[in-house]
Amino acid sequence: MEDRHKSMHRYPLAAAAVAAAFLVCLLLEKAFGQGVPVYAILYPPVMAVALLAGLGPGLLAMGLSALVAATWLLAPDGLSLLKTVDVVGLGLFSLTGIAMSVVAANYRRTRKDLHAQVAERSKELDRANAALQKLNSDLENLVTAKTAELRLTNETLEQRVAERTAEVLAANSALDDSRRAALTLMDEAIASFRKAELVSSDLRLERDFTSAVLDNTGALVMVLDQEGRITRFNRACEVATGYSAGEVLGYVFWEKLIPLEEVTRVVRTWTSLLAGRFPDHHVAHVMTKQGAERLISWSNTSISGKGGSVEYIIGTGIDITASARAEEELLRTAMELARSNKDLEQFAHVTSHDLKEPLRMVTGFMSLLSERYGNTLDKKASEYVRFATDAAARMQSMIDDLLAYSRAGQVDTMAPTDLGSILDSALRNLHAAITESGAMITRDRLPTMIVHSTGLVQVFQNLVGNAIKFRKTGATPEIHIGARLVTGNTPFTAGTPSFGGWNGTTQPPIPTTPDKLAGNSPAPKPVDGRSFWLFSVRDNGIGFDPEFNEKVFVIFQRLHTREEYPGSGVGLPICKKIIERHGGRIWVDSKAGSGSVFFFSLPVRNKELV
Amino acid sequence: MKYVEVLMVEDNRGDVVLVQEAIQHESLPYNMTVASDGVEAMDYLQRQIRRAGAPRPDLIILDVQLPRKTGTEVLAEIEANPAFCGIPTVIFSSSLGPVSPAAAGKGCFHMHVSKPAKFAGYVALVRTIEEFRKTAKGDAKP
Repeated sequence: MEDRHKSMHRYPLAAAAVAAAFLVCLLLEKAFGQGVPVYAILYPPVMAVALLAGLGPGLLAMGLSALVAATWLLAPDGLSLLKTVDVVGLGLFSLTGIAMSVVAANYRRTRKDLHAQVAERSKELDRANAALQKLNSDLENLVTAKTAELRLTNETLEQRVAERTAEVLAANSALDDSRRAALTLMDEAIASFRKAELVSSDLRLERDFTSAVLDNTGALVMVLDQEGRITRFNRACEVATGYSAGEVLGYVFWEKLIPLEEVTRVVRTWTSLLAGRFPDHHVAHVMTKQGAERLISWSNTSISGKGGSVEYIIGTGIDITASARAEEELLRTAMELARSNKDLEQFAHVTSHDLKEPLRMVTGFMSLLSERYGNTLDKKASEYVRFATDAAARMQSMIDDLLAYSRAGQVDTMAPTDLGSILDSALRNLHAAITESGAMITRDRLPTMIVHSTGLVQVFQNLVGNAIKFRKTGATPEIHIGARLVTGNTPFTAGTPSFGGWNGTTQPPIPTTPDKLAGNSPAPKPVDGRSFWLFSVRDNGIGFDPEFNEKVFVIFQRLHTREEYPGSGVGLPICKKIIERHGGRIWVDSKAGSGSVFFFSLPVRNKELV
Repeated sequence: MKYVEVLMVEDNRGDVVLVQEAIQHESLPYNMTVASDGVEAMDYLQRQIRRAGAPRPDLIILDVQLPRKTGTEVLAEIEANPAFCGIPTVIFSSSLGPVSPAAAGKGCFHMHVSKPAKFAGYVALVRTIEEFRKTAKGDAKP
């Protein structure tokens, strides 16, 4: 019933609403009787008016409602009859209605405010939308404009590309023409090169040949320019130095390869080479890539240019590191050997002295025994004493021989001596034996050499003495002493003519070819053109089996019993020692029953007259 | 009969015996004292000087190779001392070569002999020594 829309006539509406509610109250009272609080029906219109029409109409509606209730509903009989409880109730009713009106009016105002805000926001939104729309349209305009511009640029570009392409095409065709021309030229060039190659094939062959020789030769070949820079470095150089040619080409020779301490000397040599003064050869160390030093012996050649000045120096070198080292080693070994020999000699010397002492005691007391008790000893005891005495005597002579051996070849002064007179001395010492045996001795003319005369006397004495001692029973000993000079150029043939003096009727000449000699005991051969005299002592004695060729020179080695031939076996070892002290060799060629030839060589020293 | 006082300096007992046998063989009036090395020999000589009236040896037979102090050293000390220099001294070498030249001379009486091998050699040696002693004694007299 209050669903009427608000209008400018809010207050009459309020009164109408109250009147409508009053009518409803009357109807309800009629139906249910008096006493029922029907006036509560009056609240909804009050509230509705407050909500819809605001606070004023609300309060009016409330006041009217309270009046209606007080006048017609609570006290129909007049206001003065109004009971207290009804007055209180009416007051509460009014207060409640007023509160409701206030609340409803507040609510209404709030809602109105909200509506107003929403409307404001909507308006703002509309404004923003409008701005956005404008921006969009502006952007669209811009894009359109730019697109148009771009299209224009593209078109320009396309045009330019087309122009360039045209230009390139034109250039290409021009290039094609030139290339064709170049090819023609090249063909011509190749043709002429071929022609030139044909012409220079001899030269090239020569060059290849030279290169091959350079790279295959064992000698180091290095070519240096005027500044000393390496321009050629052959394979042997690479092997010796450890550098490849590529690593040294263009470097100054002495800066790259010569050890610091030798640089000054090498540069001095270099300077004199450039000045045309050629040392035959010089020896210098080179420093290898690995830092080792190798000794190189160089000889040099220069190649001069048109002006006559030196353009290139060709150095040819031989790596003598190994041989120098070997030489050093050899020298050291020789020195060691000499020392060891000396020690041994000393030892033999001292030992033989020490041996002599106790032996002297044995001999002394044996002789004292036979002197003092000879008469009282029986035959057997005397024989035993004799055995002991003989053994001691033999030992005595062995010790003497050992002493002689250790002394043999001991250094006494070497002097130029006529070997003929030395042989004379030896034969004089053998006078008794020669006379007794009736030996026939012949000899070649002997040279004068620098020797130890006592040693050589001993050698001849022992050899000739042996020749007499080991003679054939019933035959006259025939002995020949030969001497022959063997130079580096003379083919080595021992035997004739040195032994030409030998009348070989009783004995065929003993074949003494070098090969055969080498097979038994290596014969000396001239080395480095060094010459030597070859001596021989030939006899027609008993000889011995060639298997003993070496053994006869070993100390205390004997081929016969002491009863057959006395001696303790030091004669030949002494000869060997003396000859070896002279730098010579001694050997023998013999055959059982056919005599022997003892050979010995003595090297010719530079000072000696040959 | 007056004995000849002999000092034999020798470490080889065999040589001493052989020399004594030879002396006996020759019936020489030798009274022998033996020193077995150089040090002992010098001690003996010094002692003989200090002791008044002690017999000074009339003859010294000196081996060269001796322990502790060699015969060469003993000989040098004998020569250096005037009290000993006059004693005839026989140097008994075993053919190891001559005694050093420095040890020879200086007016003292020395004779170098080598040791023999056989007993007969010792007998001959003893005779030679006796000859030498007599000569030296004669020379020593002014």
